[in-house]
Amino acid sequence: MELPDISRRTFVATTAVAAGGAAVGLGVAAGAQPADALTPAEPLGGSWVRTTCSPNCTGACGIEAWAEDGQVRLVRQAADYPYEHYNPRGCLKGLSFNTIQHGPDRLTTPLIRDEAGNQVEADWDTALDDAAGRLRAIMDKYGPNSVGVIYQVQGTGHIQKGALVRIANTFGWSVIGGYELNGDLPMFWPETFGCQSEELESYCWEDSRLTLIFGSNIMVTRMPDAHFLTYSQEAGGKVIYFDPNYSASAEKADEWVRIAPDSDGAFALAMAKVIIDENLYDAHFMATYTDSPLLINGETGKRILADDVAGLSATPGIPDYRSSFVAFDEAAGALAAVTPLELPDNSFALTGTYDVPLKDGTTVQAKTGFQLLVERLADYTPEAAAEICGIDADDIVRIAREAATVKPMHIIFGGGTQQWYHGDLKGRACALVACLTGNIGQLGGGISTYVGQYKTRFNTASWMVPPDAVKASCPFHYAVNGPTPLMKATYPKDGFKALVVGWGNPLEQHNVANWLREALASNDIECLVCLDFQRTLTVAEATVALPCASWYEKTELTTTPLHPWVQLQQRVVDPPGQAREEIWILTELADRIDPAKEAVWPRFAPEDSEAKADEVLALLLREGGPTINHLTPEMLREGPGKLAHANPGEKRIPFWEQVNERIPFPTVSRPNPLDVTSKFVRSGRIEFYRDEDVFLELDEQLPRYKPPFEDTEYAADPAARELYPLGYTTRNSAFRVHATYVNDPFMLEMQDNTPKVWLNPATAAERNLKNGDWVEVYNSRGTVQGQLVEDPGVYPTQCIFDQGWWSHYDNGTSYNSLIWPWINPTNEVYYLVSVWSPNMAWNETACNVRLCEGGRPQVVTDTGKSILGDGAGAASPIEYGKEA
Amino acid sequence: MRYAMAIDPDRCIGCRTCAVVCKNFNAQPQGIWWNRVFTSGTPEYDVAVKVDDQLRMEFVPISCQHCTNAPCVTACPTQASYVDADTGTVLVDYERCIGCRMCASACPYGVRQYNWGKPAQMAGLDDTVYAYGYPREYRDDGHLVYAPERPEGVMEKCTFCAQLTSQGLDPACCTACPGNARIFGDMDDADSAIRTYLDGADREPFTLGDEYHTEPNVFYLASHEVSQVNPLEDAADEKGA
Repeated sequence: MELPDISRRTFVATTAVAAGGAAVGLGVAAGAQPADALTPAEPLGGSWVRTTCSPNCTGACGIEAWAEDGQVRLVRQAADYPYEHYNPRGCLKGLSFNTIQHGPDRLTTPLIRDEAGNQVEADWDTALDDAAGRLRAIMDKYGPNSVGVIYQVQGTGHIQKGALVRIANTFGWSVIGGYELNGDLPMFWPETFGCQSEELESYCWEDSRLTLIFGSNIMVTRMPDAHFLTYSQEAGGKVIYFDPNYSASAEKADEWVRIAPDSDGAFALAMAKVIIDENLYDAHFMATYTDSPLLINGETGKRILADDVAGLSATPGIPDYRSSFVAFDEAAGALAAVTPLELPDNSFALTGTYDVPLKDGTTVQAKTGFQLLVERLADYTPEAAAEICGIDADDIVRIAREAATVKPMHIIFGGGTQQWYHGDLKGRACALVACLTGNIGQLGGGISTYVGQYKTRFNTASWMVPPDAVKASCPFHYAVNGPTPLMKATYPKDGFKALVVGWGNPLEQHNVANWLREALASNDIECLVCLDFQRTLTVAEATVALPCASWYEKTELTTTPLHPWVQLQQRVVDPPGQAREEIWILTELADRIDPAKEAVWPRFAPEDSEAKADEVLALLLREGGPTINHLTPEMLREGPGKLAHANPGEKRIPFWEQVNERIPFPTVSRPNPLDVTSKFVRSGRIEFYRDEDVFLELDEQLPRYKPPFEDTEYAADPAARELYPLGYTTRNSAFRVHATYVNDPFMLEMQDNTPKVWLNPATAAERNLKNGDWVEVYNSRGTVQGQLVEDPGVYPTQCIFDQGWWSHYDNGTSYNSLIWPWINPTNEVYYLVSVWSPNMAWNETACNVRLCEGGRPQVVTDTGKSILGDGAGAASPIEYGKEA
Repeated sequence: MRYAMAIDPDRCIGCRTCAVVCKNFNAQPQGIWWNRVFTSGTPEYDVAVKVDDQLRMEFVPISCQHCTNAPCVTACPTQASYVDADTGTVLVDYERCIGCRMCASACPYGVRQYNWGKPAQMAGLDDTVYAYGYPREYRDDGHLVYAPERPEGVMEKCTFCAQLTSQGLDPACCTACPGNARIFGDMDDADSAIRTYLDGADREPFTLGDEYHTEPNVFYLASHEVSQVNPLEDAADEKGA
């Protein structure tokens, strides 16, 4: 499109006003005649190309870029979403991507190791042959699943990133999933709903009238979506934010509740108790859609099967992954078999104790799941929870009543709450509140999580699963901890011997980054192949590094759970230097590992990469299933295309089919067919009662509160209680997407080029520390450095470090060196290849802080600044963070 | 016609996208930020500030206030700083600026930024320079008010993106704000976006530094209060960790 493209942007603004929504201040002042004002600028010429900014924030923001001399000079939000409130979409990081795309850290040449082990530049033939030869040798020696694959969230790219999944499936490499790597999608989802996750797209937030946010710093981590909370407030809604620490999200909320770290579950359980005790709960919802009426054997703790009860038999024709349980039908005054095939209205008793005659002649006493829940909640009076949460009981009661009566009510369950060892218990407690209040399946209601986002929104098998695919997966947790008794994953017999990493920086970002570095140094991991566009530490340590195209240099297909738009990345400029599209790189790698795979990986010239990507794009859309197959490449070249959904109305409503069409739970978790995941909720209902042995052993058959560190840090080392009295939070920064953008000069300037550590002033004073001190956060596993910031908003028992800093900028120290990948055995019950595995509990880390000699390294002072030569040694004294 | 900008702190999430877009689009060198977002009461980012019995993190975006009675214009000995008669925008002619910095001393808002020496250039690929931002010079009635490569030793500041507004586009910070917290338009036109927004708000707009009688054309709206449960109780019973 030509500049100036006034007409379209003005049109967008006009539409906004006409739509009568919240006034959106775009567009030109009406009546302003440019000719009468400033002299019109010289038109730029050239064209703006629309692409999609899609790093691992998963935001997927439509961006337009303008290029000259082969480089991007200007970027702006495309602001072309048909739903006006999504415009403009894009944040400070994506809107300065050009600085790292064309910056000095850009990887432009393949790198290999010479005979001395030094990293040297190579041509593509040499680098690809080298990588293929090493990987083939390791596959032959240790088995193909000894090659571990770490890749970025699939939704951020299905064609180029999908090619890495395809090559893993071609050779049977072990895909290391995102759950244990990132701790993202909470395990309460499969434990309760049997699905990977279901969340509101962010434009549904504006429809909520009460939003409870538990530990999700939306204003920082979901910048392009945050305004939908504001719009909800402008429409009369209320936002309550629960977090031990003050943040931008606390500031923008109507109410901030400062609860003790990791106490969210106790708060939610006490809310549930108040809602039940005051009879504010939706009994129809609980009886119809949840396992509340199902009878539990008082002796075994197991749910009673209809086939075991005298005079009853299971619903006929049920598949293997379903079970017919038993309830007491109050209308009939008798026990009844419960069908798992539909969700009809019923007259099942929610409470009570019943004698159940079994076919073996015995009679057992049984209670309903809801009865057991009520009994468990006796421990969570508002007073008891208030003690745990460090707040007043009255506040719990007040908020519980609001949650039960204001509709729609939406709970955002954040990483700050989830990423603890007992994060799943907290999620189950919050899900209980969402169900008791009948908000599931309602527009603007329910419960959502916005960490990770591994969810695949259409069928991708046509590209990612080649003929004769061999699917393997193993959580990295087991490489570190060793196999466990309940492990269901297939652990490579000799462990991981090679890693293939795509668009990730595990030597910084992995929860055991130090462990990985040591495994590489000791040659325990013999080969590291890395695809990236930046010179990260992982690239610097790689055996072979392959330079990729950025998202302004290729065709890629993206989706996100945050909005319904399918979008393309499109080529604005050519990849610099030798950098090439991943689809070409991985095709060549596959064919060089095994020439017999050429039928699956037909070769093409590098200059035909765009044509090949187009071919895969057409395939993915055509074979993608009903959510996407109405879209064509031509439509997406024009702009965003909307995914289809089942419910009537503009916005997709999670669980609408279950609640309205009475289709049993779960919803599909791609890439698995429904029958694979349905076994996790065998009743076809939302299940709060878990009767697997390990849940019974740990007394976690129903949600409950368990305190932090007792089963982890303190169990591993009782001295940790005294030595490391602080909880360590590695929160997301406004200035990075994990470790991406760390070298963006604008981002560095805004942070004074300095990694920082946040402590409450009282916590600092106890350690004789003050603002500006260079300090070290430490525990028995590692250390990280930073400049101390005294912040009264930090909970006194917490220490905060903004994750994502490359250790290069922090005297070689890594924030992940303090972390440990604890394995919660309940998570292992729900293991599913490439979908679910033990969660990473980042926050389950105890630490302490002390003064450290030295200060920020010169490299960070220098590297961050946009200086060349002696350009501006005495630059302006005005810096970003200083008062005007 | 009087160009003006409204900033709604209730919608501002403190993300600083406006500051970065401004810097990127207007090719501001290292150290130069025409547009900044402060947290009231602290020079740090992501820090709470005690206000009475509460914690707050009030975001205050600050850029040139485009004063009708601009002290920088009065102070400028060379008439490099001037108010554009057609739009009320305060501009600096880089060719007339002698770098005396009188304007910066006169400005009560601290928004003028000076290029000490030759402006820094950004490092690019393979020891090259990377040039970013609007790539053409822009002259207003002959005045050089925007140049992608800054002359040595000139003062610079927000121009309301003169190179864009002259094309009928909004300033970059206003189109880019993900929270739609910045609204641009003509205060003399009752139907303009800014007038519509300000007239429709239930809060009275205010300007900064009224005591200086500068008559700014950047208007702010008051932000809401945050009710807080247990905001400041020290030590917090040492629970949870």
